[in-house]
Amino acid sequence: MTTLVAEANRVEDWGGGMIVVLDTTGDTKHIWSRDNADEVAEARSLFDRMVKKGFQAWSVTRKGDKDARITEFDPQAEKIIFAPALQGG
Amino acid sequence: MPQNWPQYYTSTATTTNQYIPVNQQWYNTSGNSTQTIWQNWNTTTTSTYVTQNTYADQVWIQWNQMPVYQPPVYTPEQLREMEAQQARQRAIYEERNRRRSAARAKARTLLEQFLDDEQKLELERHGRFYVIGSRGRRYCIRAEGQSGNVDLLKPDGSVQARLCCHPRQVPGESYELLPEGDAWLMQMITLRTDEDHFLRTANVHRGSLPAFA
Repeated sequence: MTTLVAEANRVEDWGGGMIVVLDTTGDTKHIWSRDNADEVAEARSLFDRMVKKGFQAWSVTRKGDKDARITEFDPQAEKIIFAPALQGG
Repeated sequence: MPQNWPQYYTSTATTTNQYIPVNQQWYNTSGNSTQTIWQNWNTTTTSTYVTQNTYADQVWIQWNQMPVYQPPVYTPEQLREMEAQQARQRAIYEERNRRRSAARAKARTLLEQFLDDEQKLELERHGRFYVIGSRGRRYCIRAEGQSGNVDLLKPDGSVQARLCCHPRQVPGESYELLPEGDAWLMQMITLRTDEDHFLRTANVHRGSLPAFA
C-alpha cells in the first residue's frame, strides 16, 4: 500500500485516483485504479460515508488548475481531498 | 498564621467605643491618643463616630466558624500510587505530543506536494506563501497557527484585511483541529476555487473586505 501511495504521489497520471482524508493524524490515503471496478466501488462507498460524516470534498490537481468542490464521486478525479467545513475564527 | 481572628461586636448602631482590633486592646472615645487611627478612620465631617453595624461582623463570625485546615496525611502506599498516577499522566501527555508532532510533519509534507517551487521557498525562508484567489486577489497565508493567519493583500502588497477562516474540528473525533499544514492547504484550495466563499466565511480581524461583486 505504501509503495502504491508513493507511486500515486509521484506519477502524475498513474491510471487511478486517490482520496485523502484530512484528520488529526495528518491524513489518511485511499487509492483506486480506474480499471478495477471493485476499487472504484469501494472508493465511491468511502466518498459517500465521508460526506455523511460532514466532510467536504474537493477534487484537486497538483497544479491547481482544475480544483473544484464536488458533491459526488468522480472516478476520473486525480485526487479528492476531504476536510471539515471552514469556519470563521 | 493565626487560626482565629479577634472578634469584635457592636451591640447597636450608635455604640462608639467597643472596638477590639487585632492586638486585643480596648479603646474608648474619651480622648485617648492611642486611638487616633480609629478616630480618623471613623470620623465623619460632623466629627461623630461612625460605627460598624452588626451586619459587618458577620464576615468575622463566619471566618471564625470555618473549620481549621488540616493537611492530609498520606500513607506510603498512597504516595506511591500518586506518583504512579502522575507517571501515567506524563506518559499520556508525551504520547499525545509525539502523535501531534508526527501529524504536523505529515501535514506539512502533504501541503508541500501542492505548492510550487516559489511557494515552497517562501514558506521555508519566511514562514508564509502567496496564493492567487479565484477572483484574482492576492493572499498571504502565514505559517503562524491557523487562526487569523490569512492576509488579503492590496495591489501594492500591503495588508488590506487580516482574515480568520480555517477548517472546523474533525467530525466524530476528539474535538481537535487539523494539524496546521492541513489547515493551510485547505485555506489555499478554498481561495483558489471559491474566494467569495472564503471571504463570506472569514472573520475580519483587521482592515476591511472589498465589496462583493
